[in-house]
Amino acid sequence: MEFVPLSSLKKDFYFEPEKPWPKSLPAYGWQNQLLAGFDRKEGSALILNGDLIPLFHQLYPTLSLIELSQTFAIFSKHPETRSHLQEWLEPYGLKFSQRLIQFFEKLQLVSPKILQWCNEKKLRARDLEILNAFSSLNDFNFLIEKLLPYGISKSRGVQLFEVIGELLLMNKKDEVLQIFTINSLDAIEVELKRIRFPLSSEKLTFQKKELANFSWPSHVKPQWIRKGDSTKLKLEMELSSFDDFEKKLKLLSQVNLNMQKEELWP
Amino acid sequence: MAINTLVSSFDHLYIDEISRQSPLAQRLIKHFPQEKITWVNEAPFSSSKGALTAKEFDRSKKNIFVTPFKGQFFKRCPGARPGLSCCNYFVLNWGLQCNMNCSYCYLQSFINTPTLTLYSNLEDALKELESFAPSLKDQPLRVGTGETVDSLSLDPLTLYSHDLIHFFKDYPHWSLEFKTKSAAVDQFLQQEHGGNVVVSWSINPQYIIEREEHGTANLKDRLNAAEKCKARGFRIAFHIDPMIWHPDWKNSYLELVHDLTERFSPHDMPYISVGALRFQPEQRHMMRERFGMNSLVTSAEMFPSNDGKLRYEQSLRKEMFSFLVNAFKNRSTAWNLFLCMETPETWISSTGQLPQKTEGLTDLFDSRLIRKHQSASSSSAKVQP
Ligand code: SF4
Repeated sequence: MEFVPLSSLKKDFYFEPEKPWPKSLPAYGWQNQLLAGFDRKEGSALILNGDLIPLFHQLYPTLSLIELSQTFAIFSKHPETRSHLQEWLEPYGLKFSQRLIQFFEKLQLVSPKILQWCNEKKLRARDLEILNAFSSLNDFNFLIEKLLPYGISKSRGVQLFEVIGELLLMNKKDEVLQIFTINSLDAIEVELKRIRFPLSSEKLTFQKKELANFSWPSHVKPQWIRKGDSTKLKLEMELSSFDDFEKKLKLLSQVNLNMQKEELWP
Repeated sequence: MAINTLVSSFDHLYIDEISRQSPLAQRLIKHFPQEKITWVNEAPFSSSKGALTAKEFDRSKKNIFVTPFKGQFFKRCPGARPGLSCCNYFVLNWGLQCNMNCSYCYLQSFINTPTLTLYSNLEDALKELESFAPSLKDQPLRVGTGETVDSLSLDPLTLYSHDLIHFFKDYPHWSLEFKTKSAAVDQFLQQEHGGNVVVSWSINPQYIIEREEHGTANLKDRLNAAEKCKARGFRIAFHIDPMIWHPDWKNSYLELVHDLTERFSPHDMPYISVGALRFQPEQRHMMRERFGMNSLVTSAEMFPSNDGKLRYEQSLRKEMFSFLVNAFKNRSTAWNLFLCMETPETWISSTGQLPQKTEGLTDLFDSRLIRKHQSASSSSAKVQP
């Protein structure tokens, strides 16, 4: 076991780990490089022997998306690691490809606030494929940062990133900007989808409006909902008795016929 | 497309040393200039591994790699999955990647090889086929060749059509289907055939061809090619697939129906298959990166369907199919259309019945029907000796 003063080690592999290195463990080095315990100012480091990549995996069995992106930036340039990227990435569940390299390069252009959110929500590379379509991420960063204060969930965020990204690629930045003057996330989402999916949104709005023109039995709440590639009518009913049920079924049957006549069924 | 134009559309030809003596390699080296040919012992672009970038995908269309296929050639039709109504046939993949460039091409969702690969051992595929003969020679067996590569666009170079047509002559109950968006038919027209070769075209209105089917033959040339095939006694078929929505879609597709029905009659083909735009969700990324968002395909309003693919809203699909079916039926009720790769729900809502129950569909792929059509139409077609 060889301990050397921290100050004697270089920090080529410093990648801003999110958590401080556990106090119960020594700092670790490899050859003349510090590998773990970057947050320590003084003391010594235990020098590990063996191949760098497997050692790195043992020290950091999991890395967040940001940490991966940061380490990738270092590993892809460093003479000790740049020809071992495939071996380095695979234990993290990532398949080495030029596409992945391109993705990491794009990720480095994403604003720190957005990256922070992606990290908290544990986004994976495939959740952020939209980045690959951009040559510059300035507008994307600008608009997505406006979305984050609404406290969006992971799945909603991933979906909206893509919708906003696509609208930007469709040169609709100004229209998207307008939407951000609205103060509710639900309304923002509806509006974004209205611009991205104008035909189906218009159709759904029409169907919703038309629904109100039919004589629905009392305590029956009809609502069109979109399920995947189809639109379905959802009915909520309050029924008080056998007779009430029978009566409502009769009235509903009449509504159904009228809807058919008006060609309202999709 | 003239051979010279075809050759000059490629950046380079890589030939695996193992394939050196293959008829394919020998043919290609006659056409390609020396400086474009490299003999290799391993696949080129070895640094391109795994998922491709848009640039790598573009490059893969420009570089041919000739090598033997190591594996089983025959696979079942990709449509034959639970929940999907589709035809049932065998596919012969003698290559991987296409030299044309349709924005919606499904190859974008699964190709991760950095070249346009052409397999040099077609004879092994034919041997596999031959091995089916003891049990299946008298059964209807249908082989399609346009799944992972266009059946004919490279045929002026490969001349694989010759070997295939010749092979199928001995199997009158079997049928061979070429599926293409090219007009490359001249190279096989003089081949003697057994009346069991179907040459089919995917067609779309010229407006869609110009916007979304880059590098393919224009509509007129595809229809001309079909006429030539018909005149030589080949069976022909059309696939109006994928139908693509755009503001003037009705007029576009009416024109298409007009152009088709002016030149062909329902007796010329057993069916026309119809499908609407659909793709695997992952494919959208590559399409977006390669074609931007101004394409009618990338900007389309697509939603996840039950089978996991992205499709137009069901009601729009229904409207598009019904419109097309009516446009044909208005011209003649004898036109036979079927919806390929559609969910049973859309089948029912557009045609009123399940595919298995649609008259004429179950026996569409029965070679007896093909022969029935053959004898009916050969009397009217001008078959030249
Ligand atoms: S012709 Fe077919 S295989 Fe070729 S690019 Fe178009 S869709 Fe793809």
